[in-house]
Amino acid sequence: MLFNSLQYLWFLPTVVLIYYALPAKHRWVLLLLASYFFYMSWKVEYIVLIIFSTLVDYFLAIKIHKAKAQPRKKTYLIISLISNLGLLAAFKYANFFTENVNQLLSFTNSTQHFPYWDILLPVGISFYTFQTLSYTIDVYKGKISPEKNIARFALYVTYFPQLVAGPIERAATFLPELKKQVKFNYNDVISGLRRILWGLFKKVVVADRVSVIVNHVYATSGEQNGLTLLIATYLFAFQIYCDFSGYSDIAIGSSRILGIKLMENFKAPYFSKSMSEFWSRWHISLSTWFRDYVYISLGGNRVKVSRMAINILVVFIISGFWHGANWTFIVWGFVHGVLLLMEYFLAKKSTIKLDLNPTQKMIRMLLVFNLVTFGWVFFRADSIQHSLFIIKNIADINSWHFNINLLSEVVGGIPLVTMPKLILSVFFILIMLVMEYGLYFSNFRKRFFALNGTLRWSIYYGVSLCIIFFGNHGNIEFIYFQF
Amino acid sequence: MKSFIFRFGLFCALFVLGLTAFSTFLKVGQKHYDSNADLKLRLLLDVKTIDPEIIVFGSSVAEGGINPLIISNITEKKSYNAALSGRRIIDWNSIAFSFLDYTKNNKVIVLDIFPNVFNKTDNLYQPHEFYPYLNNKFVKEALSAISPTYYKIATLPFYYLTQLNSKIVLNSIIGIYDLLLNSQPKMSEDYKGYSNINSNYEKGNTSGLIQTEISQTSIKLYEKLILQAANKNIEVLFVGMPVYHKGKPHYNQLDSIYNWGTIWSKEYENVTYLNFLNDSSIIYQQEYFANNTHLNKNGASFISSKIGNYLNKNKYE
Repeated sequence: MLFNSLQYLWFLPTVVLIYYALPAKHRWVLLLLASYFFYMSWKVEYIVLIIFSTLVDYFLAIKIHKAKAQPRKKTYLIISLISNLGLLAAFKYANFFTENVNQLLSFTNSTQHFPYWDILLPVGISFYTFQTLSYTIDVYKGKISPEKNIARFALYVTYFPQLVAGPIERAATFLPELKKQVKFNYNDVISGLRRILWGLFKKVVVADRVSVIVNHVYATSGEQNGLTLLIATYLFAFQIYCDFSGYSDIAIGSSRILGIKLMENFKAPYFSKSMSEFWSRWHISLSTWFRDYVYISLGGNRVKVSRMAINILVVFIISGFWHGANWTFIVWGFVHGVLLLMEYFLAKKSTIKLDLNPTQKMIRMLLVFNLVTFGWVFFRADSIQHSLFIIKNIADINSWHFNINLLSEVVGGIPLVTMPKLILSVFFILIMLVMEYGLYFSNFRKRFFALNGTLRWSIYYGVSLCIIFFGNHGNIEFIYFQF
Repeated sequence: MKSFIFRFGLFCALFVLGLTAFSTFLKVGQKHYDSNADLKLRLLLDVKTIDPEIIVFGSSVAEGGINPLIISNITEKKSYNAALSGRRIIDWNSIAFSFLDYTKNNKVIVLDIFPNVFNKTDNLYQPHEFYPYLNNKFVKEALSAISPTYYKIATLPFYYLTQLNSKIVLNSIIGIYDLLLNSQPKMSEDYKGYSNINSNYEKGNTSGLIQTEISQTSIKLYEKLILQAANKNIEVLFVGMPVYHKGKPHYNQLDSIYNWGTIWSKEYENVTYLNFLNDSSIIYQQEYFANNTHLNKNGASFISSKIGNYLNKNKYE
């Protein structure tokens, strides 16, 4: 069930109505049932994987907590890691490994080839396995006590607003949220609805509109020139941001209506003035997960500089690999790791003052945005060769020429994208950027709430109408579902 | 909670009211927009005043290639061309089934066969022309069979607003303007649905082979139409429309496509077939063609006379 589908339009209000009609102490049971229904509406069989993950981590966490000897605790933790990562490896990475092993074998002239596994990637597997892993690790580290109620723990694993694409919550903050007795709060519900509206705008009016251009240009890169590839790459930067942050907004908004707070996942990352700031604003729940459970475990900053550099590269390569079973994601992670290291070493040597004037800030924002967009080429391309081909073509400035007909396919004699449609999409991107800047860097919220009710309602109506009239309603999945 | 329910309810009620008003404006406007297609859809799906003895269904090949005025002159029977440009049976079947549902006078349905006649249609041509008639069961069925999007359009309130484009809005504004000023329709009914192609032969882009297909969906729809016509004692005349001789090599499986007329005429008692594909009296005459598959005014006069004479000879004597 997609957040931007009509099913969800029925599902959420139904859950909310029943939720608030039930006595507060029983509401979590409804959420559990709704979450299982939500997941099973995609593929019934794969609920078994979630149940497996839930059972393994529920029992192992209790065992870890009860075990007195450290080696025993460690053994249980390793079983949990193997189970969860094994699940991930089997369903997400098996074919990637098979392909690479087969390729290596072909270099040795071996006739031995391993068969591919024809299997559909379970939606959200990367998210819920990381969420359950953090739970077991936190119990192992003694940061939290294990949850005794198995059904409530199951809700922690499957909570529908964040089940398939995060934010990846931590047990220490999220389990208490699920336990609290929620009272209907007008401000929370309105704020949740507002957040959903904004998320839908980003998803269907920005991301899904530009996806038509991006998908076509990247699929026909051989027929494109440097300029059209560059346009598509910039548009992809906004597509992926609006797609994923739009999802997070809807998740956070849906949960807020239910009185349960989810962590923020994005904080206007394209306004970052450094790569490190970008990573503190982009997919926050994942980057903090890697920081807490991988980077710090590897020694973090408290090691020699050379070791720290390796740690950063390792973390970013794993993070890239988490995004997908393809070398392109690994390279994308590596590129970001290298950029962070370059920034670290440059900052160490430079004598640039920290308080930047607005022009310097703007230049740095543009620089970071362009570096991030460069990385998106690897993220979006089908293969390393494809990414290099795109970069090479973009660099060939002599080939640049603008032709609107190159940007989209023609269906029934009518091009899907025309100049007015492209201009409108760019206009919506600008609106989104202005709004995001206002929300995170100015007193926009204050000003907005100072407006009278009629004006605020007009804005809500305006956004709703934009979603209906200008959105792309082709049931386009969220990009991060595939991760 | 009471305050929330009141405010949220009010917000939604106003929103729905606004959408209803806007959607009604679009529907009424589009319905009265003065194009050939809109007029035909209104007459066949809504007003239902078109009930001639001879009616033509099909695509632009029939719309511009069969002149009902000539057929009427020869047969002395009322005739009407309900063919819709840019469409195939997957699109236009709703108007044919709607017509069959209400007709009392009809005796003959004329259907065109041309190179792309059985191609599958995934993207409905000018779908908004059907939007004012979403409640019509035939339109709902036809649209839904094409794609899930049209199923949503046909079944969910306001969903078609998500397909809105400037053309729909513009059409509606013009339609409402015409309606309010009660201006005379530009698409005169005197033409009886015929679209006059007043141009000389244009070769067009016909380098290489143009792939055609015989989709089972189209075949089944034709057979459904034949059977429903039989139930009402209506004859079906398939007309294999001529293709200019220089254009023929550009189409694959032409013979197989045109052979369906023969197959159906053998299989169903109410079907006859008049095939001009290899008719040397027309396919070598460049002055009859607007392009390889479309007849111009002269060609339409020539072929309509032949159809009229054929009907006179076989159906009304």
